[in-house]
Amino acid sequence: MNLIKAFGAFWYDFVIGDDWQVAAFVVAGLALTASCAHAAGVNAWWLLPLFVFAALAWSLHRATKSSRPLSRTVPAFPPTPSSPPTGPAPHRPSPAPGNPPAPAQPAQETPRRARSSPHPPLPAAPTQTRRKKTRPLGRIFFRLIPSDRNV
Amino acid sequence: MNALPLILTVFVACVVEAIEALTIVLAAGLTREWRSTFQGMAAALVVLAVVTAAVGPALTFLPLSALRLVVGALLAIFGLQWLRKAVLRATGYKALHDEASAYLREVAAAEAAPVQAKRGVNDWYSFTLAFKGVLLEGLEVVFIVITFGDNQRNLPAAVIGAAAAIVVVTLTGIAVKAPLAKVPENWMKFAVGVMLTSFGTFWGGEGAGVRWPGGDAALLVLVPVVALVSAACVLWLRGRSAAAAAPAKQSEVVGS
Repeated sequence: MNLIKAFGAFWYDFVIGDDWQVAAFVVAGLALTASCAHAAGVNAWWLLPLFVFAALAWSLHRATKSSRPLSRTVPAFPPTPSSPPTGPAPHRPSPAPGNPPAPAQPAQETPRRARSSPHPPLPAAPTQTRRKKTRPLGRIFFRLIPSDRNV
Repeated sequence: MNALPLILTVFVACVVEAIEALTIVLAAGLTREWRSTFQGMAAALVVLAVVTAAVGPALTFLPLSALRLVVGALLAIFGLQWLRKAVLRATGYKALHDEASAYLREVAAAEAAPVQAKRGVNDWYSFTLAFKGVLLEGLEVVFIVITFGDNQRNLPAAVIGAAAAIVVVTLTGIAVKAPLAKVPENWMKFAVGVMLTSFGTFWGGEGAGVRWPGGDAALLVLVPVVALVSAACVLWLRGRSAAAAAPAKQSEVVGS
């Protein structure tokens, strides 16, 4: 019985993932699109993309509405005994209502990876702040937008 | 449709998964024993090959519309998961996946575990660690290869993309002998998430009975639109994080 449960949990995690509402949005979008096409005879090609975008926005909103971003830190590699953590301790976001609480350590891995690991979790490696290498997507896009200084 | 987008999408997706598998294999091989690690890796590759050989051709017997409906839904859900994680990581709401850190955790665990010979394998820990790592990462590769290959009725092209990715990552790993921590993994996941979501939406719509304007050319519009919407989500969350950080800074000043 445990084996069947574990098998089911693995496939649920593999297909559905962290947020089941994303899957619900996609299935609802497909059902509505099929209804329009077959029952009403309407070629609603625009409907499914709308549901997909709504699923992404809604899922991101739920994941971030009551949390703050983490500190940008990366682990020291290779580790040195005399290199204590120099960066600020990463802030752990408080769980959004309806979401399960976060694990004790900052999540470097997805829940699927953490569950599939063959050994118990170990303390995180020492970290150091690295600002120059961090190039978030937003910064790239902001570069494309001319600022007052550039114009 | 041209096979190039298919090969490139599968290639990038497989590179991401192969890098994660390489980290686990290197941790097992360098700290424990290479022979048992290779045995575990080979066993996992055999299982993956059997799954691909059995499920891939079997799915082609399904009617194309039914196949596209199911596979499109799965791909869209899968792609949205990747996009969600990539956006959360790009905006700092989720810790970046770091291969160096993952490698250190695997090495620490591998050094602590006792050596135990079992079923003709010298080191059972290395065997199972490599087997599970390669199998779990490989299952995602198989899923992408089968869904893309079957939908395009071009399974060999998808297999070529996946095999090329595995060869490139393996050769790089042999040359570097360290986890590939400098690869921009989150960017690649973002790109793959965009492609999976776009193809999933396109095929899912076709399976549901939709006729896309322009036929296959609609993908040339759908992919950039999905990318733009995802980028807009990144900007939106960055604005939200800045707004959340501002009151915190103010309270720090007042507190000090």
